[in-house]
Amino acid sequence: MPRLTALIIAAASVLGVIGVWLWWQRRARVNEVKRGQQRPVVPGRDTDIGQESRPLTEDGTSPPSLDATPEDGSRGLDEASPTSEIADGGRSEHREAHLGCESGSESAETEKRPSTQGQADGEVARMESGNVIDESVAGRAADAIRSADSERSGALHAPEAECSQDHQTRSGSEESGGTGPTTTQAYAVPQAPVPDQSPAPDTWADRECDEDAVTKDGLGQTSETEEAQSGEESSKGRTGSDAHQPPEAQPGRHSGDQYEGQENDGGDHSAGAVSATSQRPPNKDGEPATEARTVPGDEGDADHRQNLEPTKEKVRRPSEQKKQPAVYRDRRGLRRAVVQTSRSDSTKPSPPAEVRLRLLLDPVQRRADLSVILARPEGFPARISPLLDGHSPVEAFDASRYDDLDLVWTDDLLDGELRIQSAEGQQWLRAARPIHLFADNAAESGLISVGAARQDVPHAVICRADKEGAVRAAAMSTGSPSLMSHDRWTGIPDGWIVLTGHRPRQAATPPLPIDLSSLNPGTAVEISLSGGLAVREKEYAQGRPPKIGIAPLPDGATVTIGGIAATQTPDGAWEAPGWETPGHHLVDVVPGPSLTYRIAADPMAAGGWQFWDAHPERFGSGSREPWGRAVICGAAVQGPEGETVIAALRLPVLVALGSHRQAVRLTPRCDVPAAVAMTSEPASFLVAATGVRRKQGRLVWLGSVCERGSRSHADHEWAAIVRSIAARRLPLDNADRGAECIWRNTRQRARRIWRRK
Amino acid sequence: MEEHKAKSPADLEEKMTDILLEWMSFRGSGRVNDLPADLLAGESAHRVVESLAVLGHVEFVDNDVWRVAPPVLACLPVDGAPYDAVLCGARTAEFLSRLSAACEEHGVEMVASRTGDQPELVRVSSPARSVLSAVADGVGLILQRSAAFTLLACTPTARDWPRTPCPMVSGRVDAVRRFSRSRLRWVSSTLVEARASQSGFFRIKRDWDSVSVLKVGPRDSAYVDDRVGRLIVAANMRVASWDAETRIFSVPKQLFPPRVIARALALCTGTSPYIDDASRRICFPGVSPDVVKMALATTGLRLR
Repeated sequence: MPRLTALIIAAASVLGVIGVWLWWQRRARVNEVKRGQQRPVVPGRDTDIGQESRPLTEDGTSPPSLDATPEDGSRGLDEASPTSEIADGGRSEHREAHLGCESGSESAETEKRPSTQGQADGEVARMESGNVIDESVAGRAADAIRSADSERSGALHAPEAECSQDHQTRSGSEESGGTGPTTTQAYAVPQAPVPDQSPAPDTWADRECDEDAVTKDGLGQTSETEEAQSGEESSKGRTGSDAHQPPEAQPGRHSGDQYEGQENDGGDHSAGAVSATSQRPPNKDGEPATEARTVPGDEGDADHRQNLEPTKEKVRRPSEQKKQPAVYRDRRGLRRAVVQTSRSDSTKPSPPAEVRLRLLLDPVQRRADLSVILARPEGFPARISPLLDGHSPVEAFDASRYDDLDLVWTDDLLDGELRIQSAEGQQWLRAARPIHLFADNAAESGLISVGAARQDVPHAVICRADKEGAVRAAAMSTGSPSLMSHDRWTGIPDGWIVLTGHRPRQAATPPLPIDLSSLNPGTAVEISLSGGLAVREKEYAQGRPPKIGIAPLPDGATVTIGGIAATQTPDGAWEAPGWETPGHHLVDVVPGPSLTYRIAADPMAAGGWQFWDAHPERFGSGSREPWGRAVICGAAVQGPEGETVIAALRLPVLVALGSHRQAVRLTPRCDVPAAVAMTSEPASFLVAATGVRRKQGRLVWLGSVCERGSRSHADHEWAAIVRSIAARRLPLDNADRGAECIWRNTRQRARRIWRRK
Repeated sequence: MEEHKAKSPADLEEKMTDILLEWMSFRGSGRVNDLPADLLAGESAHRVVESLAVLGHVEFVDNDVWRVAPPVLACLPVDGAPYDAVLCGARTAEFLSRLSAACEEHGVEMVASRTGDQPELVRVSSPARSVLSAVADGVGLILQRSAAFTLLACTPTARDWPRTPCPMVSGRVDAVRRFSRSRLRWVSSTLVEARASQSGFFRIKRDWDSVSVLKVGPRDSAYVDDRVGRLIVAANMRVASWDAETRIFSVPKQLFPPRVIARALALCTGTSPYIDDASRRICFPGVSPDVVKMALATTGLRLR
């Protein structure tokens, strides 16, 4: 019995030991898990964790992950997304799904999060320990992360600090700083295209002084984003810790640092996202990006998320470096002056030009033919395609007219007005008239239509047959011999008659009725253009139109200018709506002559005057010095590509400084006491010094500031020079309040660049 | 011109240069002989265009072809506020109205004055340099800072002025004249003397044209700008003068500098140079000291 008891006790002891050992093992496993949350992240180990959890494909390889690839230590899209979610809450579902399918990498990321995330950490730890991957759990984890992020979003620099900490830890660096450009991009993009609704500053100085206000609107982010876009070199150069410090700790945050915008108007991020949504171009499916973003997992959303990725992410996955919709370019476009693409003058419907008729009478074949002569005012093309049935294109005969256009003389051809249009947009007009008068023209063959009869000049008349008697009587009253009729000639339609031999000798007495007044040489109407600034013959400068005179004007005659009825002003000039606007204008007197004039558009309204090289060979053809490459035209001196030319009296130190970048040393000339530099952007300051002491130098304010948004990058040489000048406290010459403000901002910007170096 | 009929002949004459400049601004370019006679007010067309070229309104493309220059606000050399700029180049009624509106918008004073027979001198005065930039940007014209100095800094010296090597003129000529260094004027000469001389500047009139030949060696001759040749002959002579009080820079009338240099000197005030009949010198008012230094270095002359 005692032996049995001893065995039982021994067995119980063994079982107890085993139980304790098992309990200890279990406890140790739990502790190991808990310890694992706080251990430093080793890149290789984290990589293994992420890849172990990732399901293998059929060929045994690991599928490509959208998460961060740890080799370069940068964060993936999912880690940037919390901030994106601040701007776009609609993407949370997508994030949940993403977490669910790639829990391994998410757990690896979550493992590195600070313990302040609390609930999120617990959720993810349970996921990892239990190997339970469930979408609902992942969704809760994502919600927990979001809630934790939103708790921290009161100070938006915190995610960036976290991000930089992760990045530094992954890369094994002991530095406490972060990758400024990378995180900056991730946070800058959601508030990208904020339309500038603020009124434009009055002066550039005001604009510079209002820089802070602009930054608060989100526009200050542009330069930062573009800085990162400008190249990897600049991105790598900006790893200073100041980029991730809280705004309070940053000395130069008044000149466009993005933290200002984030801190000062954290709530504006959503507004920025709204603007970004409204301004984003359609995705590749042709749907608006706004719709794509609201659909979780949609390809358009993926595209957009890829756009949000920083530069490093794109470098890391070269296979996915496809060209994305130009989100950034759109942002710049919002700030750029919109160029109105107006229709050119050639495409505008020009006022109607003049139409003349040519009458050919063949006495042998007893045939009459009519053709149309279309005038060719300046600006009309050399080849036109009349919109008439069966007519091929017509070439220009000379500078004043086109080739004849043969017409079939139908019964109603000459009854009404004759209006011809071309496919190119030109039109010609001949007003309706009761009789058509023709006369010899020394430069033309046949008889050419005229407005009114001239004394002692033979004319031909085409009119309706029922007017023959009235025409003959009118001709008789002007002293003309009796008219000869061309009855039954081929080509003359029925109801019409051609009369020749009208040679008026005198004015008709009594005056002829209005419909026959063109036969009367005493009422020969003359259109005159007087005054104005005639640039060429019958061409007048805009703003200085001619005075149109018509004399003598028979009773009942109508005057049109450009097809619009004209009225006579008290001083006797004729005007019609639009008669002084640029273009061709046809003055038509019915019955009577017509005349075309042109108003030349003001060159200022048509784009101004071109800057050209008026002295191209003054230094020979091979000069490479700035003064030799400079282009002189009038009073202006510019570079061949529009660069700014700066010249100063020769001194040992002469440097042209931009307000945001670019420091160019002036090249001294050896033959004259001058130094010249050519800068691609306007220089704001000129450093002139003869020595190293403060009194031996000065800083001259040049009065211009370069645009921030264009090609903004960290110019370290510029920053070094600015810091040197600031340290010497050189006096600022020619400065006003705006100049001092700009110089202060310049110093601060240089200081920031220098710290990030 | 209808609108000017009621004005006095003097007003009409003065106004004609403005109308002529507007006419040239519309035309863009053309031949000197094509200028409308009614806009020249009896002056020689070439002289009028030359005057406009010195003021920076037009440029000579060839000896008888002009082309209008783009509008420029040329900043005058000033030591402090107010900062002044004069309008050079093409101008039209619409352009002037835009400039006036921009000046009004930025609170800048714009004054138009008239001196002699030159076009209206449009002067823009601003208390700050930055405002001039804003005005120029608003109108879309070029703002040229330190126009006079920058022009001179980008201009070759008379000694290095481009010249075209050529064989010495031979054959029959109508007249030969040599520019005398001692007298600073043209003196009669012969082709034999010109061919035999070691150096000198000669103006040779042939039956079809007239050429200016610079000889710098027995067999080294070149065509050169007539004004540049005279400056080369007068190099290092103490014939220039500058008054620090009046800031008038003057040179002998025969040594009128080349067009670009004269333009730079004229852009110190925006007004044309004038001839002092008493001293027979050409005077440029308002020339600043640094521009004087540059002008002397460029022309090769020295202050007397």
